[in-house]
Amino acid sequence: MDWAVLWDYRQVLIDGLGLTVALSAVAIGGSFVLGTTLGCIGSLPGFVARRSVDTYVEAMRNVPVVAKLFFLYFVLGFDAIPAGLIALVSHQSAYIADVVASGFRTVPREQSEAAWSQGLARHEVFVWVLLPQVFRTIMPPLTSQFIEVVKNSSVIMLIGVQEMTFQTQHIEHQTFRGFEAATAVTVLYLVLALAIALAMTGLQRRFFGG
Amino acid sequence: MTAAAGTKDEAEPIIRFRSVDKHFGPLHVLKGVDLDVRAGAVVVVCGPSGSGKSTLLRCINGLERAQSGTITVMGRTLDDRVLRSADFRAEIGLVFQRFSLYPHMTVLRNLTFAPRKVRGETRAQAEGRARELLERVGLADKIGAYPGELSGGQQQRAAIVRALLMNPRIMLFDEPTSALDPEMIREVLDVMRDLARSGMTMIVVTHEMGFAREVADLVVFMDQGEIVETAPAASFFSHPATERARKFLDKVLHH
Amino acid sequence: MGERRKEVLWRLALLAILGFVAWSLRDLRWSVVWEASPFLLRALGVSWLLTIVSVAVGMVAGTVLAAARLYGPPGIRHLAVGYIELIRAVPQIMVIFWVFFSAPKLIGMKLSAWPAGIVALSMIASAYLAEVIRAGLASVPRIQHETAWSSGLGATQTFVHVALPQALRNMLPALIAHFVMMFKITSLVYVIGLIDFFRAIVLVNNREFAPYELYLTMGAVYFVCSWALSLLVRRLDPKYTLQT
Repeated sequence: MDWAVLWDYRQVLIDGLGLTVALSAVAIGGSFVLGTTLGCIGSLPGFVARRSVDTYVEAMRNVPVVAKLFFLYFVLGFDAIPAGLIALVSHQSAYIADVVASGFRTVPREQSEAAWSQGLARHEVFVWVLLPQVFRTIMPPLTSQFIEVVKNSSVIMLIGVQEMTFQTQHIEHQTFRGFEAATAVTVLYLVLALAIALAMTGLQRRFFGG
Repeated sequence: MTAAAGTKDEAEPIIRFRSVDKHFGPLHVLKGVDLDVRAGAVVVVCGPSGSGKSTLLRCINGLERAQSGTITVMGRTLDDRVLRSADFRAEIGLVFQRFSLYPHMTVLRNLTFAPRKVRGETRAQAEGRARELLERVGLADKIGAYPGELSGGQQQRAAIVRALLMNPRIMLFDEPTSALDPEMIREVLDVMRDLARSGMTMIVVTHEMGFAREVADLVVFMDQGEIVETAPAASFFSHPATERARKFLDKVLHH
Repeated sequence: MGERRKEVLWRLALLAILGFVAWSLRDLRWSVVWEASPFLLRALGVSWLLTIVSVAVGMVAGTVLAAARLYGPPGIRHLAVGYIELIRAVPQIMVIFWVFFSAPKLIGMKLSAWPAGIVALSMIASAYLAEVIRAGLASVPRIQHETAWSSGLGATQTFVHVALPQALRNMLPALIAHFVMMFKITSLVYVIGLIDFFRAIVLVNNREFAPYELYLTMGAVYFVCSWALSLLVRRLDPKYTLQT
């Protein structure tokens, strides 16, 4: 084994890490916003709203990310980075919508009834009483969803984007030191997952008192 | 059947039901209900489970809407326009069996939230009144606690205080002690008893017959969506007029 | 309008939309897909074979891992937790690479695509299924263990004859859901050159260049396979939701 290769290729790895972090951050933000919006719409009483969201969720969840990625890139002709981001956001937002919708189901009916009875308007009940409780209960599954985005961002290498996983293969091709590179990159992914978990725990403590 | 309760018979009732019908799908949950409640009256609604008690109560502030008949509360006949009015809803306090308090807010914020949002009270005003009332029900030391840190009885007392802070004209209680351990029922009933003595109009759905006998002006007995009997508490318990009420009392009193 | 009537109308509307889309695509060169269909079907078989093998291995290894995590002595337990969490925190492609690249170091020779793919997918399946099995075992009431113990069964017998059968029944929806997940993950063996359904589509497209026809077919096939299984999950447990 030759761990020195990691030092020689440090710039390649750092560039890959930077791209993975940037792609993940944008995709996490996008899928969180889209997924939460869809989850809220899906929790409205209207039939069409609910079933439209259900249909979106089913359609997105049952097709692998790579399939969406290739479709966006090779068929619809998006550039690599937008194709990757759209694939990640459309995929994970479906899961997040489902997580948010199930969060709404855990809030007892009395909560919105009590707030409405106190004279709050429907939108105030939603913003001040329901949403905070939904977020409080979904923090753990939301954390896994965000980690899932980081993991899925690796497939974007297949259309030539030089993120972290791509660099593993790059180093392998250049030096046959794929094992060392893969180990290092695995550690970096672990660190990213850990960072997300810690950040989410911090948020939970900060806003919901643990 | 129409019945009146309260002291001044000539006054307009604060709550009036006229031929109110309600269905949940195939279930006929309220069948031609008529009811008059005078201001200041304490009405206990009892009856077997599934008799429509809670639905009746929830119709008063529009949480359930009747399919036919009219409901008049505080002189206003309930319709979409009336129920959209925040002030109207805020004048009717409501305490549930459980989950009344907002779990993500401290007790103080639970109490001051609606007065500030709906009534536009300043923080100092709302908090001052909240402290005062909490003191009176013995919860002064729980002001910064989250509902999850309170016992069931403490939560219900806080929920009553929260409703009172809106200065309601009517208080609705939907089985407020049914989810409590026996030793906590008393502390909640004590607060309700004090409230009744202060002249608040109260509609209470409960199985606590001792409370009904002692505090209620009027007992409304329901079965299968109908008001079977409406009578002053004393006569309802000593000689119920109907066979159904007799059977019900037999079951709950000798159990 | 009744909920049932709305549902029927909704489905008819979806069918109409799908029908319209299909009709508007009628002039594409669908003959490309038709002529490649024997090759594509064989590749779909590869995808399913990889799924079935990895889930089968994953069930056995996952049971061991779950038991180690729940009942093992501290050292063993930490190893099991470490393995499960590591695999689940790292992209599946990385696991596949890692197996591919580490083989020469560990067993002294390069693995070809097939064994590398099967080993990597089985490693992934066992980590995820270990958690499914753990949840299943945790769902068995404690009193069941105590009853079995009191009636004189040993620890292993209690596990095999009392805990595991009940756990298996409780975790069936999660199990099928993870089967679907593994089916989708098999598309990643693309990176080591195995000709699964995904790679087969790409290969045919490289030769024929009919991206619309081929990639739409790919999406439809993946959707139908996964969706059919997820309907089964919903039938078994309407509340179950898969999160990966």
